[in-house]
Amino acid sequence: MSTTDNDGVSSEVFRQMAERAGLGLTEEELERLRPLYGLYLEFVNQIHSVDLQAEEIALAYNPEWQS
Amino acid sequence: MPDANDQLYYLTIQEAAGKIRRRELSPVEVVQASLDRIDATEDRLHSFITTLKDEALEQARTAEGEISKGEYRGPLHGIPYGLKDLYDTAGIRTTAASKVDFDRVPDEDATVVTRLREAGAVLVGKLVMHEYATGAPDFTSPFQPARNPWNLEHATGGSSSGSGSSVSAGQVMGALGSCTGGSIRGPASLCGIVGLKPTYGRVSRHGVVTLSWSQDHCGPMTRTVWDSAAMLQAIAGQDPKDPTTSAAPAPDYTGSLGQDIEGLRIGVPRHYFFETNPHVNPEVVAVVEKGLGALQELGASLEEVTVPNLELARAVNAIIMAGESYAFHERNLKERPDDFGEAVRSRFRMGALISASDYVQAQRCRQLVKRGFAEAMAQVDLLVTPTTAYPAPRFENYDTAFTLRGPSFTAPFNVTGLPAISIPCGFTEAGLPVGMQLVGKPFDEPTALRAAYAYEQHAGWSQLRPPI
Repeated sequence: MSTTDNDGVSSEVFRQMAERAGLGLTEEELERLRPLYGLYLEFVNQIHSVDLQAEEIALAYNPEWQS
Repeated sequence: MPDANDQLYYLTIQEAAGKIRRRELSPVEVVQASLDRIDATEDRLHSFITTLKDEALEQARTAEGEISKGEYRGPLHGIPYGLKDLYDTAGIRTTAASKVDFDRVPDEDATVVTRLREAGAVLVGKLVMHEYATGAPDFTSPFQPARNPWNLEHATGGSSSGSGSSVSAGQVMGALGSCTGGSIRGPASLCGIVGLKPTYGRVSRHGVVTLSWSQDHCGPMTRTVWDSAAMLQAIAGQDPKDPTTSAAPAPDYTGSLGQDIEGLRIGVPRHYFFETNPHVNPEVVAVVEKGLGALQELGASLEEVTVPNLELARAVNAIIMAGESYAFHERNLKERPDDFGEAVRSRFRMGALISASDYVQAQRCRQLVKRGFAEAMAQVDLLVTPTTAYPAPRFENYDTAFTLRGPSFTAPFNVTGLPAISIPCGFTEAGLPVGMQLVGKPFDEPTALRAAYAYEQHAGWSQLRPPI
């Protein structure tokens, strides 16, 4: 049964995400991990809410052979 | 709390180095005192994964011979130190406190280990840490969590837990920790010692087990500011094996200590670090406010500053760490997941569940945070904040998720790479240490060290010893 609660994502959606990521989790592991994912989802939502305009990423590829 | 005493194991590096240089003390005596102290306290502290008694005494005898021939190498010659067990040591097991690497013996030393050996420092052991430099104290681990010398029922903070406990209790004179979100400054604060996270690129990460390539830092943990400056001197500088290290030469870190701080401009970002909310312990804030007052008495001026976009730093740190740590550990997580502790396995798996665009957006937000600090620090020389929002928690109250839910006063400086040092600043009513964090501009460790040293000499907290 799919449930959505304070953890931010339904158990069914979370199962699909974990499968797609190749984590191979049991039902018990999925349910244990889902609240933690809820915390990370808050972080993800926070950074996606920022209007970044033309901001570059912080890391730059270095083309030198020695890099 | 007992006052300072003249026991050898509680000499600072600076004191011991002076006696060794003048041949009033042999490195063998100093190292033996460290090993005896480990024997006397380790059953209560659990600071070490591996001790190296025979090897340390052999190195000490070598140092003694060199010094007697006039070949004194400098202030770390003959000084006993410990390494967080994620620094590779050739021929010596390096576990990162994980069953995954339980039997791993590297072929090569980490660059900083080579540099400390060249400086004559004597490695007495590899120190306990939180598994793979993340997570929490784990009593199901084959490596028992380190205990806080100020109260054995309390945690040390992490992830450089054994580095904090061993230095605080006089088992070693200095240690190296590593830091991705606060793992040097946190345990330093909670154990009442000094912890220095240098600027990103100042110290090589080569041969150090990765948590997050772009946020990992290596640095010293010691009982005094001078000692941290001396250890930084030995390990700083460009390394061809770590492309992120800076080519800029390292300045003389101990040379500027002792200069006054008259006229130093200190920024105080009260809007984030001093706010009263359920996550911030008011006793900690009150102690650090007194520390600010002392800096003012020493001639510094205080100015309230606002750091734009600072509220993003916690999320940026967590998302980047999740993505990079999963990339590093992916194979083992899929092939032998049961060899990870549950908390660490769960944390790392988060990295598989965030998307490429989440990671990229976090790296773009990182630029905003960095620019925010540059703006806030344009008119000041340093920032000063509490190091942690709380004193050392009791083990049974340790809330792993809190480290994500609550504010982090240290992670913004892993995101930005700015140098930051935690120094002892006082105690709570329960007798637990509180740390004050001084943050410099990029590569300006000397100013942070100078102010930290001035405060340390004024306040005298480093003279106090834990009741163990």
